[in-house]
Amino acid sequence: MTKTSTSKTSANLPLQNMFQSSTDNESDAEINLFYDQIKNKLDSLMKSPSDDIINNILAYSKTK
Amino acid sequence: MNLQSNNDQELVKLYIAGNESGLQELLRRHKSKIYTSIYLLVKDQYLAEDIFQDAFIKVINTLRSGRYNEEGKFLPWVMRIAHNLVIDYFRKEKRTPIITSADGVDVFNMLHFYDESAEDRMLRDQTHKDLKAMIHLLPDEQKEVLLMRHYADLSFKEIADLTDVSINTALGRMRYALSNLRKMLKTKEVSYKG
Repeated sequence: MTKTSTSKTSANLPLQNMFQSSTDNESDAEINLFYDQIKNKLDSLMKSPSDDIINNILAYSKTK
Repeated sequence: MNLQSNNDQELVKLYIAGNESGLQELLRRHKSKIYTSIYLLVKDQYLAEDIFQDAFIKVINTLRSGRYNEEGKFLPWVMRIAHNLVIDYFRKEKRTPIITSADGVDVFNMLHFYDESAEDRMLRDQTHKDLKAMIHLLPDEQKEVLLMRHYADLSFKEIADLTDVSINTALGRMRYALSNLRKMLKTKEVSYKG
């Protein structure tokens, strides 16, 4: 019988397992600091719908 | 008519009373928050615009028919409608979000970063793509909370109500979302300096 094993380094963990792993090692302060650091980057992903879509909505409103 | 100082509920009342500028101001005020939340879930500009439009058609129909009773909570209400439409879409498609980039050129970036070097722009574009991809990799329930909290600016109470979980669960999901993003950033060794 062949025994198989899998490396348990984080690089080889399935993503779902990574996500389920504990965050106990991280303090709230660390998480909050990270959020502060990344806020601007998250903000830079902000997008708006096209003017056409807004005009469609406003035009629809006038028919109601 | 300057309506920027009016709160959402006042704008809703104006609109119900027949003043179209109430809706215009509500759209101007919230369109990016709502659209970004939809877009980062469905990852397709045109689909996101369709869902955004459908959400506001429902909003208009509800307001015009006098069935609106959210009292001062316009944004969470619209987010709930948009959220349900996104869920409907994925149910119909019978699939979960996958990482495909269907988005076109990011006009926002072009407008705000026209004076940076080509190298800087390439780096920034890459970090954008990385961050977007990482958000898409988050489990759905964590991604939802992150988008609702950061982009739609909803309170944890509002998120908890909208997703039918306790406030503590919503808080925990946000924490896990951030922790996982942090982990992925470390793994990718992406630099997000200034």
